[in-house]
Amino acid sequence: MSTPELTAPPLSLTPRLTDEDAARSRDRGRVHQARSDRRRWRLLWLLVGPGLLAMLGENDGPSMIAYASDGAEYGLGLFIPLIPLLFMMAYVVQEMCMRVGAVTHRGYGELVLQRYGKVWGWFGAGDLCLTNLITLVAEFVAIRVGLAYFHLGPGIAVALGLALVLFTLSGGRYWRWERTVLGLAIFNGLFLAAAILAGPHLPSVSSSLSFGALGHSSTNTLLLLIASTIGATVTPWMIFFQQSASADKGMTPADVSHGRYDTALGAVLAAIFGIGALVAGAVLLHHGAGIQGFAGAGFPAALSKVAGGPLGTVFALGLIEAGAVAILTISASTAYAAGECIGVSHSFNTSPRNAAVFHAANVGVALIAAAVILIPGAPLLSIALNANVLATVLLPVSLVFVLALANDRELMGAWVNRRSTNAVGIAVAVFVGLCGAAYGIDSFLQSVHLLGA
Amino acid sequence: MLIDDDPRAVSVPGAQPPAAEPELIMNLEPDQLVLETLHPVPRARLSRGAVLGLWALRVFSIVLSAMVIYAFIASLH
Repeated sequence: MSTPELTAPPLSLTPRLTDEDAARSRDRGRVHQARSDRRRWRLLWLLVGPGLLAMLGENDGPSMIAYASDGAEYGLGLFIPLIPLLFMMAYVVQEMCMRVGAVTHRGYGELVLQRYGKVWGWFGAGDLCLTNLITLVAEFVAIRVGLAYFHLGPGIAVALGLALVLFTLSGGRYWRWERTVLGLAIFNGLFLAAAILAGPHLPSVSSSLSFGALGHSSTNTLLLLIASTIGATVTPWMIFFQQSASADKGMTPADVSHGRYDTALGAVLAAIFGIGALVAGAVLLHHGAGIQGFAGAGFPAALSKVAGGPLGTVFALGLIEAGAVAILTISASTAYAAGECIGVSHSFNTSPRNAAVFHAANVGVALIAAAVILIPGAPLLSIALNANVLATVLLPVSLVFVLALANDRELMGAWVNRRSTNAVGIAVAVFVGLCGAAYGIDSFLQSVHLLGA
Repeated sequence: MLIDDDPRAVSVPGAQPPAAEPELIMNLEPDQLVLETLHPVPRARLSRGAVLGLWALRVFSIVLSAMVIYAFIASLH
């Protein structure tokens, strides 16, 4: 007797398949084959992607600059434990997004809009567009900083970023887009290479593990550090991206365990590479060099000066990679949000003709950000350093809706959150909200001179 | 394939040839098809407290964002 899923319905009653369905079906066919052949590694290879890209995409230009700056100014003390802790938080959030995407086959923006109404859907998309645009400017700045080390100008940074967006879109398939970006994202490991090249000898590491350097910092600086480090690990774009990409990839409830491996692997790698940037930056602290002037080629150049040319070169290449991967993933999250909220086709498996809004948003947001970095005298360094903070401030709303969706029994059935996941998820939302609020209020009171610096 | 007079047919771009459909469709879950995802999920029924909580969170994030942006602009001068 045949099982229901293997019985094809009569031809006249089968629903019409779109190009998007056909492309996704071929990808799913390979997954079914690997699963039935019990080829575990092949199955894992086919199913990894959205989690790795969300986590490594968040190890972006501003984040790596922030980690390295933290290491250069404050040593490793606070950050060695903080970075893994924050990526554990990121895992909890991103696992929920992956699960909701795999179970409902719908993106975050689409579900919020349909389930909670247009006001909340558009608010979420508005937050996302604002933070994405600012973050994308910061990514172009990171590429510019990296290229400046090789004496290449901002025009090359703009051309490189836009060419990558167009090139990855030209594949016409989600699978090709994902694998191309994953191929680039592997080079985030350059920051680990940078840490090794920096040659942190044990006495230096152990002395920098102290919290002494933090003692000289103001409350506002400490809050800025924590808020920007949170913004370097969990952001609204990751939430939009991983849920939508999981749905676009065609993941189903049967793939949730592999989705968890994918997300956990991404979190571990991102934490290791982030700590790599921190350790590389800490070389400057040990040499008392500081980070002055890194708006140009200063940061890689400063590293090159104190620890040799190879370190500067690897760090500069790492910044270019980090910015490039983030441009691709953040543009994609904007495109998913635009397509989902407007209610039109939103998939890499759909041609530009049939998903004009999706493809236009993908290229358009990168184009606008690229134009900003060409404006003479624009405060690019300040934008790069504050991009993560704004993401942290806007994050709690997204976190609340992720928790609501992951607990929605009508949508998720048996796949709703466990109590333990809810406890951690709520703690993450409260922690992020408090950190963002503390920094925002403190900064505002200082700027209106109601509080001393 | 869809019956020609089905009104949903107009919103499905890039349809596949009918011969390919039965084989391809077996790889997908029924609710994974583009045609199915065009149907919106029903609205959630929120209590008054939940709606108030969401609005409070929204106001909180807007006020906080305004503070951060103001502080950022002030720091540029």
